[in-house]
Amino acid sequence: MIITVGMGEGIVAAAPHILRAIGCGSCVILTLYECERKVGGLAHIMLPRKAALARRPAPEGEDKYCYADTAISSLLEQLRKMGVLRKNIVARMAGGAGMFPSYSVADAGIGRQNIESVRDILRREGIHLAGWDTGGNHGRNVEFHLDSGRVVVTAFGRADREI
Amino acid sequence: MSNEERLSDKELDYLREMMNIGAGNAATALSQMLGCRMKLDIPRVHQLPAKRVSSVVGVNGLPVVCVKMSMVGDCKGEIFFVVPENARTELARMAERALLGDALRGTADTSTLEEIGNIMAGSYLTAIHDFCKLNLYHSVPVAVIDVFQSIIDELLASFNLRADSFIVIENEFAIVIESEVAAEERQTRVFFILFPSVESAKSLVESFKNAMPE
Repeated sequence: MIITVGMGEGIVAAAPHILRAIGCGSCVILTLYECERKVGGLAHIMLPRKAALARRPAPEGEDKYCYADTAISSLLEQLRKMGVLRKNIVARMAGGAGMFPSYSVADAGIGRQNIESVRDILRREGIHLAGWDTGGNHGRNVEFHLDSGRVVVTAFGRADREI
Repeated sequence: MSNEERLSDKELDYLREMMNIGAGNAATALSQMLGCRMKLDIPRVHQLPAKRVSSVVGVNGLPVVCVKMSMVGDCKGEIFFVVPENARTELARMAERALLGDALRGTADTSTLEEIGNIMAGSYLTAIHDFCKLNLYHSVPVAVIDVFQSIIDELLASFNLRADSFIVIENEFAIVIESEVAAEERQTRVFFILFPSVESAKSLVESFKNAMPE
């Protein structure tokens, strides 16, 4: 079954499901996978960290997948409960585009900040980042096949790409 | 979230009325620019969580040319003129043949659509200004081609994620394209979408109420 994960949402599931995220611009799609049990999680992250850019953050829990820090800790916690060892988890990510040209040099744009935040947190948590397709100025769709761990990125007017 | 941030049904009706004035003006401008007939729907005004925005806009999932402008002045927000990607060349050629003439010949389709979006935003905001005495301006247009959801996610991320009071004003125009060979007509739907900031939606409604005859 294909499960579509919307903006600010996240899910952990097992094979043979396919997790899909569509219409990702500055958002980052992060996938975590463990190949022994064929389980994984996908988060459709909107912002680099909680309360950094959201003017008024939501009550605890409700928006945990919106932010890179809370989304990653939430996915890791769910995988841990399923008995997955952290050292066996492999991460991949896509997205973080800047759809419109920025006129400000100082402002890195939400896309770039999202990418950097996810990279930093993964490094800190000791999760191996195995593949990525990030940046640029185009949107992306992601399909995450839990039976094989394959992550396929599609984009308008571009060839499909496995990361 | 607090209730005072939300607009009541009556206030949403006011907003719809107000946007109808702008849409009428913009439709006239578009009709003249393209030299064709136009069918105009009543504007749709949605109040919903930012995360659900892309699911209500009529161009969901399709590649589009999206001309983005910022609204500044007494009200702040973002404006998008949205054309299905598969209609961009046809609309650009129509504009070249009609009012705009030689001035646009040889420019890229997206530049032509940027110019159309610019003029539509001008006429839309002018109508609102004339009725409500609000000073509204728009910034220089920028066009991108992609799936609409990807284009607006940065905007949505920068808004209040918790609130279910995100306002989307969706104007739909059907451009009637008459065929030369057969006596049949086709329609191409284009969209003019406004995202006022939550505070600005309130002040738009207030100024409309004040401008209405007693």
